[in-house]
Amino acid sequence: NPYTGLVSHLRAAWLSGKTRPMEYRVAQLEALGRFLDEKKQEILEATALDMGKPSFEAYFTEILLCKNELNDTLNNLSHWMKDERVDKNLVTQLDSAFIRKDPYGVVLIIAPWNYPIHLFLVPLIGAIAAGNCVIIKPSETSKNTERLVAEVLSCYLDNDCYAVVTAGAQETTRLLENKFDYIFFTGTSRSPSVGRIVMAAAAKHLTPVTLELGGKNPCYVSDICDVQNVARRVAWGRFFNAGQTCIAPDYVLCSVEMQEKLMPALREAITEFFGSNPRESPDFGRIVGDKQFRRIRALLCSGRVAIGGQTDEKERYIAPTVLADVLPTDPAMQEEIFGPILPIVVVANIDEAIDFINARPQPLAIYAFSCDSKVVNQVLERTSSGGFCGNDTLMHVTLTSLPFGGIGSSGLGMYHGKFTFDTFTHHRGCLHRNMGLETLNALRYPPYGQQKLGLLTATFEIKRKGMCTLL
Amino acid sequence: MERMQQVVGRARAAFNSGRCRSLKFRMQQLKALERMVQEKEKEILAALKADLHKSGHNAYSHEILGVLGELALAMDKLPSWAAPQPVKRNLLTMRDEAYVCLEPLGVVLIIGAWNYPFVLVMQPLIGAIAAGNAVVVKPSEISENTAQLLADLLPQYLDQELYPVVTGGVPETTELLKERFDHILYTGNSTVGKIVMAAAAKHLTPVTLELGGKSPCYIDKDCDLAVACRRITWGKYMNCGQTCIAPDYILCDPSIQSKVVENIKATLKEFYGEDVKSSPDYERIVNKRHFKRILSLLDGQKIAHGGEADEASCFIAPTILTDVSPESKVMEEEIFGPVLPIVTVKSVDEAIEFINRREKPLALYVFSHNKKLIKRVISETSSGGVTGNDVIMHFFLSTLPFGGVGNSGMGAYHGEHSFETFSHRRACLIKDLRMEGTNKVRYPPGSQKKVDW
Repeated sequence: NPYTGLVSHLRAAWLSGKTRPMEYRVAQLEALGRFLDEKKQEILEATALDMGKPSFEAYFTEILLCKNELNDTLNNLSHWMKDERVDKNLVTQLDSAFIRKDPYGVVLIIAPWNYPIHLFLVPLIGAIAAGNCVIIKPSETSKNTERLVAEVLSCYLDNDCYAVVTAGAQETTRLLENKFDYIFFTGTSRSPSVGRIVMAAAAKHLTPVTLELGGKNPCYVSDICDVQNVARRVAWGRFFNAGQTCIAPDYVLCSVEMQEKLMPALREAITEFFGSNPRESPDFGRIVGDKQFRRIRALLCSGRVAIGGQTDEKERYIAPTVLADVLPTDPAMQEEIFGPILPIVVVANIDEAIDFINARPQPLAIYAFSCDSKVVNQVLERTSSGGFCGNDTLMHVTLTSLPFGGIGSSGLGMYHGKFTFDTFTHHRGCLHRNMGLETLNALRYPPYGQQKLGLLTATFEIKRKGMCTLL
Repeated sequence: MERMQQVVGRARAAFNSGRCRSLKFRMQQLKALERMVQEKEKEILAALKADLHKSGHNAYSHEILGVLGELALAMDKLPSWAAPQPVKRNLLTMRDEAYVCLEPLGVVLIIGAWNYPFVLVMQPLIGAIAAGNAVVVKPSEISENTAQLLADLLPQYLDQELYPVVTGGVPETTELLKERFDHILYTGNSTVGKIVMAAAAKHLTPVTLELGGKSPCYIDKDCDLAVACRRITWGKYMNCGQTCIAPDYILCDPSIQSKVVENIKATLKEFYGEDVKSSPDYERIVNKRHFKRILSLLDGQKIAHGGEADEASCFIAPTILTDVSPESKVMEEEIFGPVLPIVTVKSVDEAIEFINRREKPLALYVFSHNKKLIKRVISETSSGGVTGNDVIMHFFLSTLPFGGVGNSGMGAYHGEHSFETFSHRRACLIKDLRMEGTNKVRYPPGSQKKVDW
């Protein structure tokens, strides 16, 4: 296996205990911060080459959000690392009981191409903070970023403990044959099936996993709303990174009247954002590759093109597009779009919208827009999704105190902020008892008798509040 | 088998009906479970006796007491566990509502084990119900009396569609695992654990695997040997060694090996009397297959105590082996029987090295007066959990997460950890539809000014 040597090398470094002290972890994290600062220009250029990522977007997601996570982690690391004391029961009153935060060992992070720095770096922050050694496998689809990371990251991080592997699908399969102590996988449109492959490979070694996958994120717009604000927020979320965002609003559900009202509002928002010819706007991206371009273009024959629809294969440009009167059977409703196309599916009312959502696999995110908070709450309470944002799109993932992850086919596990640290940490229950006071243990030893049982029950049992209790 | 599809399908339809979401409903079910345990105590103890020759005391204290405790805790804490948790906001979200909703996962599968057949089904079941899920229960067929009892009792007390019991062996479990679940909690061995996870992978189902391994027990020279050995004897030979967190083997300095043996022998006499076989407090091996397996581990070993066996009753006497070679068969697999090998090591460094060369165990034990040494052993090793200066006890503190790491498992439960295991943490951000001004910063057209802001 071409990677066994590398994995052993990292495992040896892991066993040496190098990554355990807080000072070491802080130093590596600070080095990551310097990488973001010093290589900002290179990151903006690489992502521009890879998918025409507008520099404002690249700065926001690849630099700013990453630095937020970094600072959050550095500010809190010592607290997160500490043994967590837990409440004790009667029998353990005199003991020391705590949860020890143990690193797993050698972990693997596989990242996708759409936010190519962010989606390996944010998990990496948690993995380093938790004391692990890490192999990073950036996406081969975002070639320029992959090259940048492969060449440059090693100048910042300790090469004994952190390595970047460049690999295509076949080589990644071989990489996955090795034993890792944790695997963190983020995938894109075809993700559920690749997610299954990763988890099946992990199962061979009993390796725990986090899978950040995707789905079709519905966006319900009620009749009672400020249409222009809705249009802006939905358009922003949909067309960010030319639609190549796992939490983008994938399709809109609304009444036929609202569809009517939304159309001019969306048109206005798109013009406001990208001008009359989005192709010339520096703020609108491109599709990452020819294969993906063709896949998305084929979805255009759904419903009718109400806004946009223009494409240019050479540039891999697809205009910000809104499709009206889309049917559930149309191509655009069969797969995660992952492109700058927003289908509108008409529903009669909120119940139909909720039934529509619940008839489909659980998505990564659900959006609901209404001036009536009761309506927003109804959608929240009667559906299931990784995360939820009311009256906006995407924003819930910018708050590091909220967990980010999927459910069902949209994924398992979660991260961001402390949740990333916890993801890469084994929470080890520890009880440190007193060697003395052996008489207290007498109740548990044979030979047994009825009397002993009564006394034992009294000391062990958690009683309901309001009842007589020794606890 | 269509039967599995029907059972799981019914549970899913029942879950989708929404009736197990309300806290009131969940409390009702938990209360019913509590009634079941109290009203059917005799039957439960009888089943455990039939399956494992468990004495009333052991059965009650190991299997019923803990369950009653978890039920009381869950009913007490449910409102606070299930409440949305507000989170810290940043500048951009200061005026918004941001919180985490704990939501049920859906239909979960609990696969029990035969060694503590009641508690290992009940404890996860309590957490899964408390978290608002539908639950398919599959008790181990090897502890057949308890499995049958659960199949009879649960439908009498709980909602029959939401919490079905499926009985059967390997073929039935294989069929069951083809269905889609929203979480699977499996207690058993690593080999089957891999099969369960592979089946789960097909549906991207998260899993909690409570597996096993060889839990090492290091006895330092500087410790009260009498106390240490009494505690170890208790933990090792309870349930005839068939405990996932039993101290599997001892590591100690050769100079104290014979004293360790003496102390354990003395404790055994104290616990079980001269004739262990006639003690009502000593259990039996669950079946002939395991009986033969454990007995074969004695081949070529120095038996310092015990070794007697009787196939007809699946009795194996409490046994101690000395000067055991790390390469011998008894040091390869988890013993899961009343055989205690002692492997000598010259120092705590050697002990740590020995432990780290092997798969991560479910539990780790270290006995010493020297607090620093205990801290060192904990820090330089990895295991599911730890008890210092005792064995088993970390299991009984429900505020500690109980689970394995590496080959000994993944995920954890007990107390609130069960509730979290069976819940989805859904991030919720509710913004105002007005206040569009603050959003302008993020909209295109982008500009250097915006970036600087």
